[in-house]
Amino acid sequence: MENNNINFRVDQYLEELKHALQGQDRALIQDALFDAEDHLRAALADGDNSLGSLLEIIQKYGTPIEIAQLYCEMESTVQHALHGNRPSTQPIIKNRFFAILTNGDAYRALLYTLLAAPLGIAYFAWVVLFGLPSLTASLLIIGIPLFLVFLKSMQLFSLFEGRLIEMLLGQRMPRRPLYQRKDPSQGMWNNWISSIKDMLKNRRSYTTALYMVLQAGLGLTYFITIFVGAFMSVVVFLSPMVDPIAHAIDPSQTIDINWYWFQLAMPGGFLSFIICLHLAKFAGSFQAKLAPYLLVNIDDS
Amino acid sequence: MNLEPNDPSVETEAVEQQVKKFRKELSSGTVALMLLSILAKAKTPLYGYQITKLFEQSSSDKQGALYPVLRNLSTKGLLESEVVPSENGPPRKYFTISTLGRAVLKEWLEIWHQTHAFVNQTIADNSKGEDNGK
Repeated sequence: MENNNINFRVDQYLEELKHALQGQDRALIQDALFDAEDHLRAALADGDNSLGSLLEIIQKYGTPIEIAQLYCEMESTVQHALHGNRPSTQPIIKNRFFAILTNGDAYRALLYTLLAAPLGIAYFAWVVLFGLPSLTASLLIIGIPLFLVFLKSMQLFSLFEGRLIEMLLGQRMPRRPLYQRKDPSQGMWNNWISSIKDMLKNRRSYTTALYMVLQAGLGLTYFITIFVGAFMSVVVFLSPMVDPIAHAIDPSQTIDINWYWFQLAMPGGFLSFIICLHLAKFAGSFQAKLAPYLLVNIDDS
Repeated sequence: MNLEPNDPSVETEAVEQQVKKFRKELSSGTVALMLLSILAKAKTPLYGYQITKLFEQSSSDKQGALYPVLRNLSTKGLLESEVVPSENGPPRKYFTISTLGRAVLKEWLEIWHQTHAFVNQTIADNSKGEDNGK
């Protein structure tokens, strides 16, 4: 069956492309594979869908090695566009412990610790209140369409969370959805069935659900230890200054930390803020490693 | 076979190498301009394959080279993209030019016309000289 030959050859091309992009960001590889398959399929559909035309299409599109090279070259330009020039000059604060005050990454990670809690709870609720019941209801057949909706939502959530992680934690995540193979000769119903099968078989749907469940715990932990910690550090730092003034203006305001405590409160608040920034950066890099592992899967069929 | 410096096959190879390099440098500057221009003229959003077809006749570059540029322009905010599911085929990513893209295109076109005129003027004298020499 020529269709099988063509699918085989396309898969072969994509394997070679994946191999040529070895060592690159998983998300870059996923994007490159999507573009290639998208183009090859569209070109095949436009032509006579034959093996011969596929070879011609590949020749015009580019060999896997050529394409890999193009993506690698462009990626360094894109990184530059997104993140700008990393300052190559000496950091303003030399001491590594205190240097984190000027590190933008740490503040972005701190913002992530703020957002992670409500998002984590929402994700967890979605999995537990919709995913699990639909899975059990699937035993009664009636839950099956709901479970499929749930799996589809996993794909959308993973893209969304990926964008958030890329923006705040700097870890490159996929910008395209997973390519969904559709055979035009099969008709709409069969295509639908096979894309559903792909979704069910795809490890990523389930690891995303796992990520969502974990996020509640992780998000709350980050929020309580890091964000609240940082917030309270700032409060403690400012209180010796702000409280007496507020009390003078409006005597009903109690002074929590009086000015003479400033020798303890200010350094204490300052140090604990710095510690929280370090923790935020650490949490951020942990999350940035966890997310691609659970949300990106380039080993799927 | 003894290859000497002025051996024709060595020279041809060197020329070919330089031609390749020149072509690459030229296209890296102009592809983005052409992509923006195509999308500015398009009445509907276009997806990757449609765009590569519009390049087919003119360019000897590989079609695959367009996709990373499309991605780059999207990341910089010059293009907007939307993934649209379709019944017969896979979901497609459609591109439209953004407001920022239109503004940038206007500037780029200005620069292109100036550069184009200047280059033509410079090489015209050169080509004339060659013709006279022949």
